[in-house]
Amino acid sequence: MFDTILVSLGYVFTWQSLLFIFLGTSIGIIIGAIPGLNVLMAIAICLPFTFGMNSICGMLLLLGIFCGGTYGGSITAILINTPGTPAAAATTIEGYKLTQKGRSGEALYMALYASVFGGLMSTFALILFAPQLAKVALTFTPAEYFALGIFGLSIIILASGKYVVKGIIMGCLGLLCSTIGLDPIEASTRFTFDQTSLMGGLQLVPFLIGLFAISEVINRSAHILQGKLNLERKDQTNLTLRQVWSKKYMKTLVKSGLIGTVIGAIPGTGSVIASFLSYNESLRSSKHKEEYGQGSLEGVCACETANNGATSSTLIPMLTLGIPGDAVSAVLMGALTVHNLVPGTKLFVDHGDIVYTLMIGLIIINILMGVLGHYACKGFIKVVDLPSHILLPMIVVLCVIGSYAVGNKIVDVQTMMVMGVIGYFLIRANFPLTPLLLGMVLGPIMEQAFRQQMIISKGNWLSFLYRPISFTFIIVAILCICLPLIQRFIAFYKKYRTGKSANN
Amino acid sequence: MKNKKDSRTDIVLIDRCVSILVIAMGFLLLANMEKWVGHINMLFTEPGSRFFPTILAYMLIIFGAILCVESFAGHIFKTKLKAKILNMRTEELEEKTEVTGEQDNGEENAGAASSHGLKESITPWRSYASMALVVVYVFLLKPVGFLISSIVTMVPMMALLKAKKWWHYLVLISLIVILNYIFTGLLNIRLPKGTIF
Repeated sequence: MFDTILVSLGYVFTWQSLLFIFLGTSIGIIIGAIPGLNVLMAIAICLPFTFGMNSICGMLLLLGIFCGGTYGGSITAILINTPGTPAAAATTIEGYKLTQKGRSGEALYMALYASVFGGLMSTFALILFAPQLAKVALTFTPAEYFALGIFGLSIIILASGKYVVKGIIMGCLGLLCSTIGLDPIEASTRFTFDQTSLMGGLQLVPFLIGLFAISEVINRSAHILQGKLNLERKDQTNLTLRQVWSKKYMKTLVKSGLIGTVIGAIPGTGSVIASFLSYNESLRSSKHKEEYGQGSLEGVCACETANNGATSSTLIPMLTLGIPGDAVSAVLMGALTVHNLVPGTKLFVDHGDIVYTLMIGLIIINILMGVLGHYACKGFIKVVDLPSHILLPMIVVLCVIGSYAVGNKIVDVQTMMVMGVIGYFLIRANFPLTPLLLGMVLGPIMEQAFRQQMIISKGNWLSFLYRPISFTFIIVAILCICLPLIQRFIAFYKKYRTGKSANN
Repeated sequence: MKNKKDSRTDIVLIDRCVSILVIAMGFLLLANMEKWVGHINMLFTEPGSRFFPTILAYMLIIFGAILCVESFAGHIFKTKLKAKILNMRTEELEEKTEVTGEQDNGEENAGAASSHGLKESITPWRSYASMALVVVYVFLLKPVGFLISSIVTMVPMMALLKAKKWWHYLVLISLIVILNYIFTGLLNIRLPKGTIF
């Protein structure tokens, strides 16, 4: 193995490999930062260019786009409340609040260094524990997927702040939106109203862009402050790598990195779910819960570590077993096959040098992402200083492009518009938007897993509690739902008692 | 500008309307479930395609009702409770003021806020106008294509957002043209071309 690694080091540190790593990471960051243009699209666009290259350069270019793009999504999520990629949706919750407080610099650097940490942790997990992680991932049955979904949804109680009932209603509406289209088991139509364009269901990207970006543009139009966005102005203080990778955030970094790595390795999940689950966990265990929802660096740290933590681990089932975990790894698997590298156990035996080259390449990509991001952040911060009469129309134009490019369908742009209008009214009525998105993201996984498990267990509802992982997830979810409600009730009762005794 | 009490009353009113809407939506879903959700009646697929939407419809009715009760009864209860707490705090504050002789000066704080020299103008009609422009933009996309619809709707949006310098309009139009070229020409990503032209 040591010899193979030495050979792989030789492959990585050639000028051609380093050039393609640089190109891929740069393209990834830029594409990721454009709302609606996701990693999958960027990889699909660049894939034909790799056909003429050697396998190592081609794969390093695509991996650079993958990692860079996952990080790039956080930039617009933080600066203009528009997640560049669905994986950065959770980052908007805390990131944009920080921008509104004039702390966009801190948020951007936190996102960058947390992403680098998550990416590196995930890559080391890929190098050291790939076979073991693949085994764990394959033990996940529908019961575990459903329990994971329930655990993810329990965040609604914590993320809704004062408006718990409104949050639950939003969660239900999100879940309802996710049922639009063809049923996952029977393939019967649901809420399509005889429109063929709705048969594929609502696309996540236009839904997300409309809900966050368009609603924010509409809302911001009313708040004109001397021609610029109504954001607090502060001297931007930037975080350093040492400040982020410090004792203060280390617990969040490690925990979120682990969540990202494990969730990423489970086929069918991916970085979106990883970042929401990690946000949930960091909120649950934080000592500064009051900061969450108001702009918490810890929250940004959790989301970004987890979504980048899921990048390399997504490759684990693909490389070791030949099972692509999501659409991106399926395209990457296709790219490997084009270069006569068939994923699976034999890949490590027959082409061990190339596999280790890609793994070492991932380490370089993550380090380079940190360096590129460090210099790029200084420029990105200035985006919020653009005059709002240029910035807001440009956001709308980019949102339209992003929504249309997902499937080349006008219905996606219409979905974005409808969600934007609904989102605006929801903001005005103090309805939290995050639960709506959570329902939309977790709904399909939950419903499918629930019904599959019911078929497997022949209708036994208790079967979800028989398996240790699903049992643990469900118990933690119940605690997450009940404890804050009990705490709130006790606090309210205490207030009531104090008021009553004062009146007497 | 509306004061805090007025906006709170508005929110309560909105909550009441929304809760009624949510309950109505739940009932509407239940009433039309067979029509809107197809189902293959086979035992092995149970719970079927209507299971999740039905559960969600019931949840909407339940939590809509809770929101409704909260906005009616909870508001009255909370107002009374807050009044009690406020009375108690005022009494405490008066006692303290007598001892220290200090007074809170709200106007001073307001003065400090405006000392930055930034005057914010909140105009909700502008939101509705930009919303209308976005809607028009989306509906123009199919007939006239990306380039024309973007220019036709985003230039008025700029005017709406108080753009005064002529070259700012030029910047926006140039950016739209450049974006159109990058996506269609370089990246080969299709954008709506329009059916009229």
